[in-house]
Amino acid sequence: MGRPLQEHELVERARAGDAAAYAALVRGHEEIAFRTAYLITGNAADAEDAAQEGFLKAHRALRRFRAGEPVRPWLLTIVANEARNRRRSAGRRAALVLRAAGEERPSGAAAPSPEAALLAGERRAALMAALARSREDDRLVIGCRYLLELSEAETAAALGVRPGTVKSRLARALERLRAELGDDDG
Amino acid sequence: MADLHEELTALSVDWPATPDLADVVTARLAPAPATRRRRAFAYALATLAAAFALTMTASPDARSAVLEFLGLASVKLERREPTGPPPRPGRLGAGLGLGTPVTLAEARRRSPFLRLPAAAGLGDPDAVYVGPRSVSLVYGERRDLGRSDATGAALLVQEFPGRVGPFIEKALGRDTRLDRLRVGGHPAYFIAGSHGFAYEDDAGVGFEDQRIAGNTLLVERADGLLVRIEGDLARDHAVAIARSID
Repeated sequence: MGRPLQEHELVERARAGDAAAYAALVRGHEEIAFRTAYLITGNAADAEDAAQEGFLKAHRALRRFRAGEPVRPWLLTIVANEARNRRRSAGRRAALVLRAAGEERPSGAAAPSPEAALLAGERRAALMAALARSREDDRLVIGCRYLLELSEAETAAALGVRPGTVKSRLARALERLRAELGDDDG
Repeated sequence: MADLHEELTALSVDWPATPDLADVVTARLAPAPATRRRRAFAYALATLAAAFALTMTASPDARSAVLEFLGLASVKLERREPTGPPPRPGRLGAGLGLGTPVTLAEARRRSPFLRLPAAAGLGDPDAVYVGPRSVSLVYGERRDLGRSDATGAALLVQEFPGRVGPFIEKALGRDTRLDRLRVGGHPAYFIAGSHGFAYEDDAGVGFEDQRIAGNTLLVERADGLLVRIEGDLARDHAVAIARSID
């Protein structure tokens, strides 16, 4: 077989009705789409539903997709919108869970001393707990930028705000998080 | 104090496993996106005009005239053969694209425009859904109402708060009859026979997948509420239910 298709070629083929091409596009983005939806809904079932509906809507909207634009922020806009529609009705939300210490970073780095590992673990847990207690806007913008590692533009797409808003919202969110952690010795 | 940016970046979340969306999505894809595009408005109106035995050309000027004549600004009708998937099994009303299932109390809270039909024998709906711009009441079988193959429910009552411009699209096949009537003084249509039915979706990116709908009564009330009643029921029965909505 030839070289793997570029994303814009997949879009073109999907637009022409090639279901396999669209499946490949979905496969390439399903993880980030699902996790973004999960960050918003706080519930795996709702996130799955939102991501699935989002990908179906995106397929129907393919012909309006401007060629040359990046696909990921466009998909995230649609999926996040679906996720927001679902989370308004859902009451309970699961807190994000930290991966157990030890799986934290790929191996290779020197193993820390037991005390250092314990301290780092506690600090991480405190950080996560503070994040869970923070207000919705703060949690989402920090979650998009640091936990999902979305770019500023992608975060803007996922949150349905302008990129400039992401910058200012993130600055305020970090400030409040520092205060919550007692880090600001100001 | 460690740098907060670095600490946050180093956090590793135990995300739930990503489901296999590609297969599910592909299985649910509409036949081809090109066939799903918004049909030319002029064509729709020309065929519509034909349905009403009007001799009217489909010029932009004629467009507003026809809509005015119809009296339902929020519904777009077309003469063409409808297509669509059958309802999916599961919860009553699931798979009809009605939105999020909620309790009746929650629906009232979120959709203050909601009015319940008070027609005898109906009682409370068995399932309630709230969409971005609608509330849907789904009724299971009742003494005088059997299950409809189109929805899997006996009765589907949908209410949409006022909106300007068409946001519902209906495709009327050759065998579908369209009656113009008035219900409580409001303009209304009764569509007898199965027909295609699609909404504009919330992102405004076109119409949802079309599905086949059964007999449907549409009432555009003066207060802006569009009421849509669908079921395997006769015109008078649908009108009685519509009238029982205060």
